[in-house]
Amino acid sequence: MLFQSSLLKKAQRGNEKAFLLLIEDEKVKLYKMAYVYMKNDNDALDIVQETVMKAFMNLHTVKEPHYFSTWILRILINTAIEALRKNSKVIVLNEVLPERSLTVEHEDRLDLLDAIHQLEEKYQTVILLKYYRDLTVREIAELIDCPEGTVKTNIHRGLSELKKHFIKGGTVDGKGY
Amino acid sequence: MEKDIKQTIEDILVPMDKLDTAIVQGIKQSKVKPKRRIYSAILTFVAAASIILGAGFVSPTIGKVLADVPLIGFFYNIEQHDEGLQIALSDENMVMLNETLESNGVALTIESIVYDGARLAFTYTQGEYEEIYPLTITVNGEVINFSESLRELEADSGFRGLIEVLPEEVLPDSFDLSIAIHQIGRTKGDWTFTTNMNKVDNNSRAITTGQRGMIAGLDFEVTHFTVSDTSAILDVTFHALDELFSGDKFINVTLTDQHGVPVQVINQNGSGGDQKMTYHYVLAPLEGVTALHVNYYFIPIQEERILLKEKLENKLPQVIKQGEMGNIVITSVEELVNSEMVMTFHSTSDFAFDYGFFPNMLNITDDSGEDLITDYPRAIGPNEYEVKFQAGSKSVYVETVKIPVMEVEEGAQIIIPVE
Repeated sequence: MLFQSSLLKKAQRGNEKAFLLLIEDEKVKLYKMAYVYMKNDNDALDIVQETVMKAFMNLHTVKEPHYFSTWILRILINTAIEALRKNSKVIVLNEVLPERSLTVEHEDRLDLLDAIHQLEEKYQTVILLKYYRDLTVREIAELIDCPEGTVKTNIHRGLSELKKHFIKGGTVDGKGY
Repeated sequence: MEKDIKQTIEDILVPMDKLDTAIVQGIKQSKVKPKRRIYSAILTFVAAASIILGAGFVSPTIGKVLADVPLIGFFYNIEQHDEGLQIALSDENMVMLNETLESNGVALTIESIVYDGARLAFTYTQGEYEEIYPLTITVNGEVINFSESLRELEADSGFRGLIEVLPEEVLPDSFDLSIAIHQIGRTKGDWTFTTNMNKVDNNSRAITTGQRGMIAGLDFEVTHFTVSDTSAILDVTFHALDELFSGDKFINVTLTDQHGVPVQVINQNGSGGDQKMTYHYVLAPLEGVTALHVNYYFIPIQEERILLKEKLENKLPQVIKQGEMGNIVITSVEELVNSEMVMTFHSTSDFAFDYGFFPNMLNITDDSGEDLITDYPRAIGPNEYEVKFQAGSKSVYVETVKIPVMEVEEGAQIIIPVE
């Protein structure tokens, strides 16, 4: 933590190398979160880039190094949602979920990813935070500034939506969801 | 299903190089202004950055990034921290350009430019710090590849900086130079400075290379070594690439003279491909050095660092035990001026730490944990260092960490006679 604290101090003084190391542990997780929201490499990279820009400009607001991870995560989520809302003004044809007939585990995961892609953004966010980032309901509520009850409801509804997509396709490796 | 969600996200492929590039671009876009520093100076680029620069060698992309991004936030004193450059700047071949160009309302002045065979360095001023990017350098009309580093010289009235360019190829002794800047801060424009350059007269000479070593079964070879009155260049090529970036450790080097006194690395970068990696080091002048000792080693990455913190005692010597890697022994603390103190210490370890005490670490703080260091540790003998700090009315604490056990394999030490 001393090292992290020293890095944060250096980064807050404008030391870019220190910032790069601070973000080293976060970058893959940030990209994957962005990818789920944006559904393609290029847009996900744009979101990460914009997140980094905002984070570096506002790094002085981080008081303790252990807050850095959730702090930059919040920036990423807000950035992605903002981008999705801007993009929603552009009319695109709805994607059709591929029919599930695959039995290989990896391909099943691709299907699940497609299903996550199709979720409404409010469900995506809580599902990602809960099951990918392993945050508690309370932590999620604090992070997205939302009542705990709403978080629980959205997790439940998000899971239900995912199950609907999967039930349509049958079972995976003999296991039903 | 919950476990599958996690695994599904984990399975998303990550374009690492593109991701690293996006992160760097994000930083570049942020255009952060430097904040005023209480520090008066920093020892060297490497002394300041080596702690993190080493870790940067996790991937070639990030390694390059770390070598290229500017070091802003610390004031750099050329006279104190790069005596070789100071000598070069006093050479008659130094070009005192003092030319101001303005484009789209933004002015930039390049003051002086010097080339010493190892680095092309220029000092410049601007109203306030704004990033200069991108930079195109042409030599005799040909665009050259290079890495660059930026140091902050002054920020009292406007910004004064030093950009040090490390060309990928050795430049001729005399050439037409063009430095073209295409963007300053958010303003796009054209600031193109041109001049004729002559390499400074610094008695540059090539040293016999080809010395070979081996670390963890990986061959390396000295592929270039020149020394001069203003700097030295050392290139070491590893016949490996992936193995150097395993993720759980990173490679580092300590260079010493024949007496074991660490040699100052002024700047460094690395480039690789085709299972080959070349580390390029620019060193301080090797005055009095008859043999350069090159010691490569791997530093294990630790998940947790154990802090060792002790109040600085009035009674010296004071010993701080670092476990298997020996003790830090503080031997003297003296006042320089205006409560700035210089502390001398050494490590009892047999392991050779580098000029900036890396991969060891020492910090000086007050009661509240505020960093008091004004000039980072610099070697004054074999594993013996000086560090400067600002004393106040509060108690002073010395902080270090329990460092991992490291050793230099016998084959990973090579000696280059400096004829």
